[in-house]
Amino acid sequence: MLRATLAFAYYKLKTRPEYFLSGFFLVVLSFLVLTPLVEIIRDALTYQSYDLAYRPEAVEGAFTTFHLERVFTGRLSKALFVKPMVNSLLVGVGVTVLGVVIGSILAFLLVRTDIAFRPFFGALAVVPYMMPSWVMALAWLVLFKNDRIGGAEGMLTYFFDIQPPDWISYGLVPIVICLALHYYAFAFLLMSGALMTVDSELEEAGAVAGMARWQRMVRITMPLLLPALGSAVVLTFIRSLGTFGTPALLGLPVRFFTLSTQIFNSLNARNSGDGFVLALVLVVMAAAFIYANTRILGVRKSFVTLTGKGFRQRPIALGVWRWPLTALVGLFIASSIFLPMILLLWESLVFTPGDYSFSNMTTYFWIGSGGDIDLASGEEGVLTNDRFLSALWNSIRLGVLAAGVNGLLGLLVGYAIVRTRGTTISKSLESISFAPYIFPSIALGAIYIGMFSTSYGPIPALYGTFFLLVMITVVKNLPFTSRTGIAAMHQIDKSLEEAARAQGIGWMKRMSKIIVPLSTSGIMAGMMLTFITAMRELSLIILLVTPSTQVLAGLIFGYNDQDQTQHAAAATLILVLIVIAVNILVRRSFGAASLMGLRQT
Amino acid sequence: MEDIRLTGVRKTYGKEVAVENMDLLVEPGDFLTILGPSGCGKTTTLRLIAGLEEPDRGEIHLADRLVFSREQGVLVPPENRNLGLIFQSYALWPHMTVKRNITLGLEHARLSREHIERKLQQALKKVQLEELRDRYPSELSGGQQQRVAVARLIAMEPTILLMDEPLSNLDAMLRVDMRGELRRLHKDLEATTVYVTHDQVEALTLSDTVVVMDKAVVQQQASPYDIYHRPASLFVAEFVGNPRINRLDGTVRGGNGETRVDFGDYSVPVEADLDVRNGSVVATLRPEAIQLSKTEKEGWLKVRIDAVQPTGSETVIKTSSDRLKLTVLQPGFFQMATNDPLWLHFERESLNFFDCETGKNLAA
Repeated sequence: MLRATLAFAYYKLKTRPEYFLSGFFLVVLSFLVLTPLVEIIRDALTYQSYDLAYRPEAVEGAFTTFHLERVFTGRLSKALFVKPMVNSLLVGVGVTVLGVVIGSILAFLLVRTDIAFRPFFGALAVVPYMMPSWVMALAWLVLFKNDRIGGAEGMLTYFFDIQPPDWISYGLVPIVICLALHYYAFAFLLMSGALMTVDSELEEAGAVAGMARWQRMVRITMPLLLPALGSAVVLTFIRSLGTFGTPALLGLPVRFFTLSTQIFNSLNARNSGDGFVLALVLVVMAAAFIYANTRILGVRKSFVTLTGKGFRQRPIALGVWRWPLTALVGLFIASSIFLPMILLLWESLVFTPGDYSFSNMTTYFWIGSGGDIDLASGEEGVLTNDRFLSALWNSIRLGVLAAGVNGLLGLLVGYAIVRTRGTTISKSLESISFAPYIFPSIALGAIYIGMFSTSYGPIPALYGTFFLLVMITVVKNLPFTSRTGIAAMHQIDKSLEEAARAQGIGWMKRMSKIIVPLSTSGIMAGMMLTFITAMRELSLIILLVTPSTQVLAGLIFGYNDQDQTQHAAAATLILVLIVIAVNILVRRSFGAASLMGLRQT
Repeated sequence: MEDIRLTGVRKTYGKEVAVENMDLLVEPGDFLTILGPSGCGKTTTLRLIAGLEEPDRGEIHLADRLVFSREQGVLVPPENRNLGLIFQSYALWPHMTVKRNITLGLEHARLSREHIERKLQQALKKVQLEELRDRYPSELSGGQQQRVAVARLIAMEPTILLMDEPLSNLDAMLRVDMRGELRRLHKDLEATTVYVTHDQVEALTLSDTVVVMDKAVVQQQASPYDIYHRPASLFVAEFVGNPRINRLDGTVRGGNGETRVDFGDYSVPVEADLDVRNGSVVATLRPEAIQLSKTEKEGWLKVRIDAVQPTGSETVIKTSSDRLKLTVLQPGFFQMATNDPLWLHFERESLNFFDCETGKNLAA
């Protein structure tokens, strides 16, 4: 009997590879996603070697609440936890409110009104999201840097001889503004998607029922938009909690710490335990926020008003406000896209920092040969600079590898989930592939440092290897690629594969001849998205890069830290150009919707 | 030619039972149709035979080969069952030409290129699609797509043919043509065929044997003639036939040396040993088995006309008496005024009697 059961199980696994795949990925992903979490919880609750400096009597590995006490109740708690926590919340709330308001208004104007240049503005409105989030911060410094810290001052000082006060140059206000100008894209994409699916007829039905215009807005349109709004709020809040670049560039000089920069600081100061506790705080906050949102909105899925048949949407006439509003949107887009680019280009051409006159312009920082130790530490211009070129190569390599692995993973995980639909294993796999979503980037980086800095079981120490960068990028992007994979699999009717089975065609051949060719476009779009994310990502990998694995974003951060602002500006421009070029390529090949992988979250 | 044998097969999805304790024998070379309303388990049965789903228990044999048994640890995947499968959606691979759709399954069989080409030619010729071999499925009409699916089957020369509502996506005219083609396919391949449908006309016209299923259970397995004339249960009687069969509630009365079933306004003599419960019985009567007269006849049931629905070749007449409602089917095109009187007559032989509680045919 047992033998028969085993034999049957064996045959079943052999004839149903989807079960094997599901099980396999469940194990691998649990290891990549859950074990690290368990590990840092353990590290946070035991003495580490570096703690012996504070507690000479402690035994390494023994249970302790030492880190918890230090962070939550100790003398340092205010500086380590309370202030960064308050700052993080202020940044998170500020960015969410400002970003969602900007994004929603923009979405409404561009989708539902007769504002001029709609398609043009619509295409441009998502560009800030394609750029790294900290580009705005670099541009902000070019404009508003004051004499508070060393180095030259910004344009405002040069042209108008004004010293901007600290609260304009650094800290909460500029961080919120810069991040909001980046993250409004979430609200914009989600809300315009939702607005596009609200049938004017639904509103007209309300009008027929005798509702006034504002009543229709409040009673019909708003409730239909609520799920999208909820997703936008969650997405913006979690992303701004986990972001590192902007708070680092604009906060660290005035010792304005958020949780993310404090984690960076603690790990750099070799107080990893503190960093782990703080990373856990971030994870718990993100998870609680998602949970609260799900509870408040009920279901996570948005209301489906999309019936598949076409419907009319009559644009709302703006009347006399049409042109003033058009001008306003134009101004906003110009200042959030073109102005930063121009500022960075200008900065990269300045010879003596702080002098923005035409006579002071140079191409030295682009193509200069370096060697002058007084000039940017003797560093060559970016295009002739080995350090830059190797970072650029690493970035591209990281992007391509992560995209490739993610594409394959998305396909197989999507296949496994969809084909085993309805079973526990399918549900578990879907949840676990979504789990990295709740880890803020910087926290995931901290978790991976904790786990892979020494050898772990059969796995050697991965810290300092390029492989680790690829791995974390793959894991962080998994929620998006697995969703793309699931969506792609849903497009392929089950009977197409069953027909092949009946024809005697084996699994490998079914995959290569039928499943893969039919899901190419969806998978490719997911891969491109991963590539772009990998290229511009700083928060995720800042803790993990070493000089030999340095990537572009990390190099730029380093340049800025060394006050080599021209190098930082030039390198940023190149990075932005690559990312935008790839974006345009994707849109050309797969349509704009493919970039909205986030619409499904 | 192979037979298909299911013994004690049960399949559940969670708490829902899709197929309950099924014993089914499909004779070699038989064309068997599984007929039933949606959700009755007919498609699941087909998928179990194909190997696309595994039963919870029971055994499945194709010919003398055991292809499924949990107890004995046997599971032969669909790839190795030598099946031909036709889906409602045709399941043509949209990114391949007609030619590739047909040859993909042949390639693995280590056949020479000439052999494959010959099989392709034969299959295309059979469905008369030789000129369309380089088209993509999206460039074909629904009927042509269906024929490609058939050609794909022919090339594989399966010994068992499974079809899951293959005609339901076609329009009415094409459906009639394709019915003939599928029947011919069955004959050419000499393949034992299981055909799943909810369309009773397809079931009656195509099959050698019909299996009627309801609520995961086989209600009756019989020839189309017997399914129609000797339904095993009330469900089968009412599910098969259009217009719907007449259902009459009757009481058995004895006396004067004969037993009669009394329907209120009308009674019929029956054999004395009719095994009835508490004297009550349900009878069914096909609409075309009722005789009709426009003039009064002695002993006939007087009714009035409620509605007349001519379909061209025949006319459906809805009538009622004080106690009975009867639908009558007459060949020809009739025009009659509603509320006019009419006289009806039917014989004992046209009636089937069922137990009023279990719904089982009393003659069975």
